[in-house]
Amino acid sequence: METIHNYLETMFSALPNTDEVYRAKDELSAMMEDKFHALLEEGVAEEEAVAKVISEFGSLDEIADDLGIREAVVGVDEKKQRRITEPETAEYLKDSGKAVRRRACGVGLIVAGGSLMPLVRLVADYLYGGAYYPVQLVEAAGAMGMFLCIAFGVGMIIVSTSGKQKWAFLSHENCQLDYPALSAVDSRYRAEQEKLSMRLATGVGLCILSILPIFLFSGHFRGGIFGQASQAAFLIVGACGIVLILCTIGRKRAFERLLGLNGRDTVGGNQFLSQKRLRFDEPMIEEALSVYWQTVLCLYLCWSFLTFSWTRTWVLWPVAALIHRLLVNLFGKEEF
Amino acid sequence: MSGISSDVIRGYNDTMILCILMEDASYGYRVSKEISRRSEGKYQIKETTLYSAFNRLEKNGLVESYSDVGENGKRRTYYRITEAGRAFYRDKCEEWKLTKEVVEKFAGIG
Repeated sequence: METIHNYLETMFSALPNTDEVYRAKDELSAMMEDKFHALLEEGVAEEEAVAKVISEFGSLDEIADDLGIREAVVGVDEKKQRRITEPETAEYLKDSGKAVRRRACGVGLIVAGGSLMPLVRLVADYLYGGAYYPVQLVEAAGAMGMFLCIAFGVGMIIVSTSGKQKWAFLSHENCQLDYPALSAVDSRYRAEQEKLSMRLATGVGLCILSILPIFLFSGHFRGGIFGQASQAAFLIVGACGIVLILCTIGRKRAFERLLGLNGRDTVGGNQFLSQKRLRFDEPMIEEALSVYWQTVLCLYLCWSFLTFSWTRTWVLWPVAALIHRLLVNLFGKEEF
Repeated sequence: MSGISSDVIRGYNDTMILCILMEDASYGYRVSKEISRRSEGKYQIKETTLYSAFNRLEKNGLVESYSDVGENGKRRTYYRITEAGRAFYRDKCEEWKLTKEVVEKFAGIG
């Protein structure tokens, strides 16, 4: 029965979601189901029954005029739709996961790189135990390390975009997920939901936790070993948090991209709860939000490198997240 | 011969469906099964053809649909024939008699 169900859903997935189309789908589904069960009762083997039901189904062409979907049915052939199958979605999720992890680690490296300066000082202080050592040389080494980290991080971000070309067709061509692919992506997304929320919460938690050492070792502990250690810890823990957050957001985006491939106004575009999508009445706000996090990252890096006060610039992230939430709540609407 | 061509029989799908509904209200699969039973398996109506016919008949006021729970507790859309449907069926029967008469004069020889 599942094969029959998938067949019907895939046939209908590109049709506009009007009451008439849904009614036709339900009726046809009921007829096919009745026939399938009757065949089984007659003692026909399951595969044979499935084949018979599908081969005797007919074609959508026949009901096109009744449903007022002549245009859609003709359009389906003309627009050269590309059907995305389940293995393809699995491959896309795998590829995008890799890219997302690389990009997140790249950003993490850039942030954590800042910890090398205080770390090198810390190690030097520990090794030389207050005796004289060429501070400038050590600091230069730390700075070198930091810039290496940044260069490497930027490199990783660039490399992470290399696989994009392979999937560019998702945006350029008229792609449709067939029903088995759609339901597989949906159930996988729902299965990962909890893990993703946990990861996001951990990431945010780490970011908040990262400032603790700074407060802990302020006052008379400031400077010296404690100061350096707390600065280094802050950046490293913060970087871990950012990596987690970016990984989670990237993963969600990948799922949402697949689930959003089927046109909003077609039957296949709103079969599952996870296909609900944020919509904005103001196109301006939607445009602005699409580059929101990139802008914040840019601001963060500019501010941080111009002032070198990493202990303060992180504030940008929670504030930015708050503003984002506010904008979404004020202007966004969740709907199919 | 490879069964009935759907082009030829198209004009008479409605008649067959109405004929079955004349006896009692029925639903999709039962009508399709009845058509293939009465035609001794020589004609099997396709699901889309049947749905299309129901839809057209209903729009023209020849049948009415209603939802009901049938045997084995399943909710289905049932169709029942209207007065206009009965009249239409009788017209179609007349038309067929004439058609058959004419066509047979040419195609009934071989």
